[in-house]
Amino acid sequence: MAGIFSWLGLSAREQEPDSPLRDVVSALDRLEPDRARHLARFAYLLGRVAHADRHVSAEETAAMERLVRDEGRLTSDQAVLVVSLAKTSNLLFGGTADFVVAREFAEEAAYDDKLALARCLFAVAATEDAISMAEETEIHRILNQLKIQPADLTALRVEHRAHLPGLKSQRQR
Amino acid sequence: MLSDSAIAAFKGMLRGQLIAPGDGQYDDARKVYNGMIDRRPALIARCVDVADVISAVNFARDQKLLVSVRGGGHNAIGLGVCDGGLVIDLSPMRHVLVDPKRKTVLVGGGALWGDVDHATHPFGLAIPAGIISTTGVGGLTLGGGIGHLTRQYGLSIDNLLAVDMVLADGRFVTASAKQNSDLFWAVRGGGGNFGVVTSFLFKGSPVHTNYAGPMLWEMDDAPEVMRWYRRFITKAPRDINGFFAFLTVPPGPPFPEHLHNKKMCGIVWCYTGPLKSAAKVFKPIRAFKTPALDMVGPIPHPVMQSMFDPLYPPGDQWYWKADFVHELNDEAIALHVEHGRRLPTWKSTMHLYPINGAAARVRNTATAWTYRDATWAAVIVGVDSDPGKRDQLTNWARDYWTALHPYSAPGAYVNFMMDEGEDRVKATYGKNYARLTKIKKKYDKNNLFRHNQNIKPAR
Repeated sequence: MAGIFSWLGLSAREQEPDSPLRDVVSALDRLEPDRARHLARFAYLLGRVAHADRHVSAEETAAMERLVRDEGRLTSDQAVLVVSLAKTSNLLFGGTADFVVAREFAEEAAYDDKLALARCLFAVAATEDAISMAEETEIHRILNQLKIQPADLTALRVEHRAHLPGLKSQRQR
Repeated sequence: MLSDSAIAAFKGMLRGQLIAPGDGQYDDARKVYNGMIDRRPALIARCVDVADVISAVNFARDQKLLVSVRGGGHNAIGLGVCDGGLVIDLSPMRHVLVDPKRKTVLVGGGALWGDVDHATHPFGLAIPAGIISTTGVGGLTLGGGIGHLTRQYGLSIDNLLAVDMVLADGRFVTASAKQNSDLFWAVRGGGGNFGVVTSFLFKGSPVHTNYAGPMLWEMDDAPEVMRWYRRFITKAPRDINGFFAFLTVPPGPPFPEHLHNKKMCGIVWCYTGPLKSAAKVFKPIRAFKTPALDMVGPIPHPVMQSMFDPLYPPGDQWYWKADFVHELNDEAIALHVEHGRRLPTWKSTMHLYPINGAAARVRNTATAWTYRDATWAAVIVGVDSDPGKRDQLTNWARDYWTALHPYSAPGAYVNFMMDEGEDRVKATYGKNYARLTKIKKKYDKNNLFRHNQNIKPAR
C-alpha cells in the first residue's frame, strides 16, 4: 500500500494519526491495492479536467464526488475526501504526473473502464452547463493517451453536444 | 502618436516604399484577399530586402506599434493588415531560386505559390502548397500547408529545410534542424508568432505532370460518394490525393452548360504517380459510380495549382469555419449533405482535405503542427463577390459548423481559422502549446508579433 500513498503525495509523516488526510488514507486502506490505485488515478484524471480552466466549481466537485463514490463503491464521506485529495494532487503535481497517471490508467484499465472514465470526464466538464474549451482540450488529451477509438469519442461528443464550447453561444444567437 | 520626424527617419532607412493614409496607393495597399476585411494601418512598409524588414521591425517595436506581416494577403481573417499599426509588406520579396542539383528551392518571404510553381516546374520539381496559386508562401507555410500534394509529400512544412528570420529584437537568424532548432520546430505550424520570415529553403519533390482534376456527382449521390470516399482515401496509395467538396458548378466554360449553377458533390483528385499507370489507378474510382462530370486527366502541375484562381479572385467576401476530423460516420455524412444542399452562393463550398498520407507519417510533436493523427481538415467557406450577402454567408457557415462540430476535434487548421479566441488556439496546438509558449518567450517575450493566431509568451 506504500506505493499508493507515495503516489498520492503522502509521506509517512503525513500518515500520522492526527493528519487531516488520515481518513482518506483509511478510506483507501480498506480497498484492495489495485482497486485503490485505480480509484486514485480515476479521481486524479477527473481532477485534471475539472482544473483545466483553473477553477473547480462546487458543482464540479459534487459531480466528481458522486462519480468517485459510484466507481469506488465508497461512502459519501470517503468520496468527499478522495476527491479533495485528488484535487490537491492535481494542483501540486500536474505536468509529468498528468502524463504518468494517464499512462498507468491506460495500462491497467480495460477498454470498457476507459470508456467509463471518458463518460465521467465529459460529465464533470458539463456540470456547469457549458464545457469550456480548456476542459474539452484536456479531455481529448487524456482520451488520446487512453487510445479511445475515434468512433467512441465522436459518440461522446455528440452525446454532450449541447455543452460543447463554441456551440452554446451559437445556439443563443 | 507617431511623430513626423520618426516617420521621416524610418522612411529614410527603407529602400522600399512607405505608404501612409492620404497617399494615392494607400487604399489599394491595405486591401487583402478577403473583401470582408477593411482595416486602416498607420503605415505600410513595402520591404524590398532583409534590411528593410529589420528597420521595420525595429521601428514598430520602438514606436510600440501593432505589427502585421503581409505576404500574399490571403489569410482567412486578414492577418496581413491591422488597424492603426505597421504593415510589414513583403510582397516585393518574391524571388525564387532553384538549385536543380540539390533539388532545393529558396523562396522570398513575399512570394506567391504561383511564383514557386513557375520557377520549379521546368526542373520537374514542386513543393506541396495549397490549391490557389495566388496564396502567399509565407502564411500558408507557417500555418502548415495543406493542398494537392499532402498525401504524397506531406505538409509544406514537412518539406522545409530552413528559414531566415528577423526576430522581435531586430536580429537576423537562420533556423533549421541544426541552427536555432527550437525556433525551427516552432515556425513549422506556429504561424507568424516568432518573427518575420524573409526566406524559406524547401526541398523539391519530383512532380511535373499530374493526372488530376475534379470529378463531380449528383447531390443525391452525395451520401454514397462520401461513404465510398471515407473508405477509399484512408486506404488509398500514397501517390494519390483527393479532397471531397460540396460545390456549385460555375456558370461558364469549361463546364458544360447543362450543369451550370447546379449544386453537386465532387472529389478533386491529384495523382502524381507514373502517367502510364493512371488509368489503372482510377479504374476502381470510375467503376464505383460513373461521375456526372469527369475532368480528370493529364495536367501540368502549375496548371493544376492555378485551376481555381479564376473562380476566386481577390476581393470576394469570405467567411470561414473549420475543424479537424478524425472519422466521418453516417450521422455526420447526413448532416454534411443536409447543409451541403444549402450552399448559399455558387462560390461557397465545403472541403474535406485528407491529411492521412505522408503528413501523418510525421509525429504530432515533431513540429508545432499537432493534428497529424486526424484524417481530414474540414473547411466551410461562405464566399461571394457581393458584400450584401455577408450575413447569408456567415449564417450558413456557422450553422453548418455548429451541426458538424460535435463530430470533429476541438482544434482546427490555423490557416482556416477566424478570430476564435485563445482557448481555440490552445486546442489547436494541443500538447505542443506549452512548448510553443516557452519558445515564444525566448524569441518574442513582449509579444510584438501578436496580430495572428496568437501564442502568448510563457509567464
